[in-house]
Amino acid sequence: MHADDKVLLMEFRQEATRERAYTAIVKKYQEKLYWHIRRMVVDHDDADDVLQNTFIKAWGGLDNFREDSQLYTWLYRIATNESLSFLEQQKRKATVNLDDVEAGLSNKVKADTNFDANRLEWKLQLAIQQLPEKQRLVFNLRYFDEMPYQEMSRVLDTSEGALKASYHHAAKKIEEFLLNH
Amino acid sequence: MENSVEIIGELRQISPFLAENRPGMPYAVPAGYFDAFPPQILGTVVEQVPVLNGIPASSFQAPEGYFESLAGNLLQKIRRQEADGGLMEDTPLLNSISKQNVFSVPAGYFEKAVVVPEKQKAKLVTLARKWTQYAAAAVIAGILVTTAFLVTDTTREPEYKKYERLDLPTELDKMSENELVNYLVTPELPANVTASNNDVITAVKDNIQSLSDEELNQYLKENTDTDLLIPASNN
Repeated sequence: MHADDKVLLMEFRQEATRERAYTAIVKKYQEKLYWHIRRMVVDHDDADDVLQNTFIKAWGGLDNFREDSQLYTWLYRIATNESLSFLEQQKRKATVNLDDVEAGLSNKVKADTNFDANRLEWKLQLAIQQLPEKQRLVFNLRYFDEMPYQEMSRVLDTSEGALKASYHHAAKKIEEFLLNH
Repeated sequence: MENSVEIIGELRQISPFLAENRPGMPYAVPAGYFDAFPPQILGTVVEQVPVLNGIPASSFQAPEGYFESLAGNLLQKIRRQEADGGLMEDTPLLNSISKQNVFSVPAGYFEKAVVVPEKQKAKLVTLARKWTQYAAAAVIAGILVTTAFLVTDTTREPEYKKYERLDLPTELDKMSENELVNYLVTPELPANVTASNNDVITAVKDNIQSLSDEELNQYLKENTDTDLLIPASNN
């Protein structure tokens, strides 16, 4: 674990420095986690809710964090699970099937105030929303966060081989979408 | 540890278009969002999730002597509930209501009441008793079937029964003298004679042949109808 993360954890476990350490952890990882969540749920308000849930869970779990992985890996895992739970909840509320959920996310992309269908980055977001959930996660973590496969396998609890194959398929599908739209 | 160069190289192999263009994130974040988020989330967690180390697990207190007198109080309550069905404790309002009947009955109702015979209680048949009854019924049925089989089976009529119905003198009259003689010399064996009986029959046959006609006639006289006797003088 990174030295500064070790220090922050130690300070968190002491009552006098707990809140200061927690604030430091939030400031250090909030943007990474926010964008990771935002790429999954698309909408800012939804991402804000999920990010808050992530850090609330982190507050409750930091005392028992075993430090057998990096702190940011552990936080990414919580953020991923919270994002997937949120999407599952949205699916149940809307009582639509999986295909319609992905169409809903594409509609959310298009509903963004800054959406421009001619710009490649917006097309990329539309292409990403066409992917199955797992491929979407793998592509986002590898392409945007440049996460090593070894760390990714801990975040997603999947083998490195499966992740590489998933990233390969995802990138191919995105390229095909971008070339055809 | 992988670096950006390696990751871009990997992407170039899979999708040259993406590797060349590298489109980024188009989403915008409200201004000041990340500055406001840390204190906001800290306020949320401190308010919602009390720290177990610094704050007592529970702020409530029990009255003095509560637990010492608890057992005795509970026993008293239980005894009262058993006495009045729990009305005093559970439903004091109900217990305060008079038990006097408020309904009225037409005059002479009970004098004219029709007595309905009490329904007979169904006979309780235990499973063991039923089993013995079934067993007895099966035995009786078996006996009846066996008896019926033995009594009604006319197809297995004993051989001799056929001959009892025959009119022997009439039948003998139909036979020629030679047939009678041949019979006496070489009698046909019954169909149901077993091999073990053959020796006996052979021995009898030998003995008959050794007998004289007078001796044979004497035998017949003693054992059969006299009309069937063949006069000795004819042989």
